[in-house]
Amino acid sequence: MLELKGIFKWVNTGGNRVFLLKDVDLSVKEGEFISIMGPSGSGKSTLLNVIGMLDDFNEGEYTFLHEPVHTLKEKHRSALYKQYIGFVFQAYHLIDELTVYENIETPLLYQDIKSSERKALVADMLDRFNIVGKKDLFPTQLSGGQQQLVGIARALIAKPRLLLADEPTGNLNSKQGEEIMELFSQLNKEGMTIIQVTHSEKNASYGTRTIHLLDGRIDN
Amino acid sequence: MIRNYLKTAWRNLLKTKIFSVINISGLAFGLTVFWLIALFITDELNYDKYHEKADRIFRLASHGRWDGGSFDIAVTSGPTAAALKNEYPEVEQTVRIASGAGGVILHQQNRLKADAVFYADSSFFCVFTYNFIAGNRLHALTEPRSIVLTEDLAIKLFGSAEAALNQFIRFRNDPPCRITGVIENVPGNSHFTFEAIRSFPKDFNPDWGNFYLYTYVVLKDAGNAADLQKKLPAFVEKYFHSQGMEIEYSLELQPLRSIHLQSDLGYEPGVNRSLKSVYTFSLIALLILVIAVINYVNITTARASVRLKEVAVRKIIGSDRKGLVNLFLTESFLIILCAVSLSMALAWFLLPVFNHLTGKALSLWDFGIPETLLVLSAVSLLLNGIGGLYPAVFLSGFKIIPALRNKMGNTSFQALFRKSLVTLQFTITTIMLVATLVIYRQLHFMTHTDLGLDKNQLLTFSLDNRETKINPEELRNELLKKTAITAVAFAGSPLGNNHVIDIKAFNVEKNGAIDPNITLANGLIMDDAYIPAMGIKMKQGRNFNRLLATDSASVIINEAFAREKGWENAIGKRIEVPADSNRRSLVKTVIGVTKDFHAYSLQHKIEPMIMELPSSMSEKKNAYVRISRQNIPETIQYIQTTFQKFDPDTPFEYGFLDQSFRKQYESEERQGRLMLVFTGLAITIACLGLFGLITFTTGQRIKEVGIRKVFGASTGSLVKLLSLDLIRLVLLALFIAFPVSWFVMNAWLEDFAYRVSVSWEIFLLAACIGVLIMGLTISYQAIRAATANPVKALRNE
Repeated sequence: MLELKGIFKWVNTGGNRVFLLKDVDLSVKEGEFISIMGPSGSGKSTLLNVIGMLDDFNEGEYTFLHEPVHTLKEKHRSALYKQYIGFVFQAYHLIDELTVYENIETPLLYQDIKSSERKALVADMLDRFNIVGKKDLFPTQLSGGQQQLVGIARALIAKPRLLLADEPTGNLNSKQGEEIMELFSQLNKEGMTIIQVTHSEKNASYGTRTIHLLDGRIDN
Repeated sequence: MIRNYLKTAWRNLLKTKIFSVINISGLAFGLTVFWLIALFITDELNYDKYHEKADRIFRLASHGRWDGGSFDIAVTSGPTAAALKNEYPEVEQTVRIASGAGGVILHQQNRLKADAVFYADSSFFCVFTYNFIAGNRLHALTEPRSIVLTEDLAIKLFGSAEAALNQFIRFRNDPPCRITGVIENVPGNSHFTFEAIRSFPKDFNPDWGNFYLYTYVVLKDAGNAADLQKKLPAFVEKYFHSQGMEIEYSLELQPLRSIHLQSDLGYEPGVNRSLKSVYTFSLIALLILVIAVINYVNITTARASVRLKEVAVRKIIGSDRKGLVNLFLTESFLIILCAVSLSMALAWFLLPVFNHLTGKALSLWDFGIPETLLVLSAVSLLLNGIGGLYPAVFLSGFKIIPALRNKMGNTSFQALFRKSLVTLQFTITTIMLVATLVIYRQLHFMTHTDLGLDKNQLLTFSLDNRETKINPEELRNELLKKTAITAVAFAGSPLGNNHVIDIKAFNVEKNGAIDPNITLANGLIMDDAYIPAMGIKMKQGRNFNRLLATDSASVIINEAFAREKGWENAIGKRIEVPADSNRRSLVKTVIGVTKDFHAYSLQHKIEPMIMELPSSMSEKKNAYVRISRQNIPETIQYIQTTFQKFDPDTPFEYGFLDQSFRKQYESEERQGRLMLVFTGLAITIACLGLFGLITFTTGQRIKEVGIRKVFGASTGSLVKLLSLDLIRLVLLALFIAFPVSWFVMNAWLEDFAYRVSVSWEIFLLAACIGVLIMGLTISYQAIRAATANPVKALRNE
């Protein structure tokens, strides 16, 4: 599905070049559930953002669904990730001014999907995650676990092929975390490719493969 | 999509109430001022527009130059109109108008004084457009002894317009005239207004040498005006100079619509305004709007960090930059929509106040309701473009990853931009503040400065009745019987109302002989009670004494005259006064010099003046009565009763000298009051913005303040920390504003012959006011933050 070849990413601070990613090679196949692990500052989130095309890299080649990402213009790149990639964040990043329903609906609005179709899709999603009763509440009125469910629902509503999750359970208690991980493995079984960043061995064990990062380098 | 935007926008508006209120009210105030001033200016620009032929009507103005003098007046001589029409086919019609047709109207038991009455040719109602309620427009003035009344006057006299038609009324000393028509009242936006128009008397036959008729011409085509203007020198040559007129004389065609704002001649029939005041007000309206828009831009961009995360999230879940720009534009549009609605309510409430301040009768929908709404929508869209677009572009431009982590990236440009805008705001308000202070200081100076005469407790009235004028001594004696009346004097010209005192040509002694070259000076006729009654002080010599027969050959001059002639000792100098209808020219001797006193208001210089005793009693047209401070109503009552004993037909109308002087400053006072209101508004709006900005920045730094406090920072140092940035900007603004306002206000003061200086005290005062108001605004929030419990601030994290 995607392939990273010799990816470098660095920042220059005061004449020193600090490498965030150093010669990363990674290939992900359709249907995999990958966990990226490593200590703080090892470049996990950076790698995830590069894969998600939210962040640039300085050197290397990145092919996503046969498209050479490193040659694409910003506009193409964002069209690509909007169509194929869903994001889930540790801090949920829901829009506080929108209700649960509207949060989930917004990506569809940006894709100009018709109102009747939107209704059906959002209703399905609410149903699936058992949050129909909460649809008119605002994010601040929900518990962390519920907010993350909404976040995942929003990530899935546009039917992405790849789900990127940056410590999705980091702000949750263990029970809520477990539920989220159960949900992820369920999604994976249904065919969704998932890449998650995590600190916890237990969460990583839900995945099919684990990648260890150390100082921006894949450490196997 | 738009529904989603509106929903988010609306919820954001409610969530941040303080900022919404600041944004909306600031914009609303700005828009209201803009709207009101637009009404005012439109009214000013549309003077005399209601005449159907307005664009083709021109007034003839006269300009004369000669050795030692000149005149620029709104009147011409009588035969000019007819000659013009004869000479030039492009002149379709002419009309002449003469003032002085008013007086006391006698009708049955009614005694009504109507001063705004003019004589006019029968073509008057064909040239100008006035709606007839009764009577016929074409024939109203064809017969001599006809009069057309305005509705108000007709109602006062007869109860209704219809009842007045074909009735007879009489001006005292004139034969009766027939009312041949009643017209609607003259609109307020006319360069001259009147209560009635009379046809000229039968024997009216003016000559070329007397300039006292307003002459208007209607051209067949307005485009011919420039051509005709070029032909006028030849016309003057043919008709004037052939008559032996020796002055350099020229005629000027003034477009009717330009008179109100661009004409400032002698004998203007009404009060004109200057184009300068229109520009000034337009500028003020614009500046206040700018201040309001700056608030909006500043608060929105300053608060960008609050929206960072949302921007990033929306980008991640599929929004492009255009979508974000639209989102923020929707928000600003919503705010502007609220502001427009609020400003409609505000304008509705404030219009009566504004009308009172400007002395106009404006209506909110003067432009027409659909037009007004259209303009308002256009202004809103424009504001949205200006005020909303920059924040929208700025906000939508953040990079995703730093934004998600709440990092704004390099915002030094935005910070600098914001600071510049704040400085601009305070520069504008400071300039307005200085302007207001200067205007008020000049007003205070004008109303309180020593005029060289005592204008207080001095009652004046005019003598209309011929018998009283001829023998005022009885009236004087009768009045002086009351102890509250300390002096009664009579003089030829009224004082203090800026009516031109007669300018006469004198021949003055030079090197021991009478100089054949003329000297122009004000010639004031007065009796011997005048100088003491007015409190005018003598510098040399003595006052007139009516008991001395020789004093009919004496004159008194003022200091300005002596100075002009370079006379150290003026007593005994000889001056030849010109002939008039009562006597031949006469050489008189100077017996006294008065200290300078202001006969005109302080816009005008004290001019050389020669004072004489009246050669005939009829020259005693104006009475000056000095009364004591006690029981003024009773004294006035007494004066009225006495006056009426001598002249039962004239309604007693009196004024106080200090009020007549004050009236000359009405336009300055009006300007001052408007300026005060606008400055107040500008400061309020700017402070609203400042308050918003400091509220936000303190909110941002609450954690920093908490930490500093835990580690022992004093409240004082924290207040300083939080407010220093903005205080610096305020000081910078003062620095820029002072030279600009110094320049502007000196230009304004040039209109006054006697004026205050724009001195450092004014700047000091402006600085104090500015720093105080702005300092209070800033420090309120800063002190609140600095004295808050630090634990609370830190726990919030």
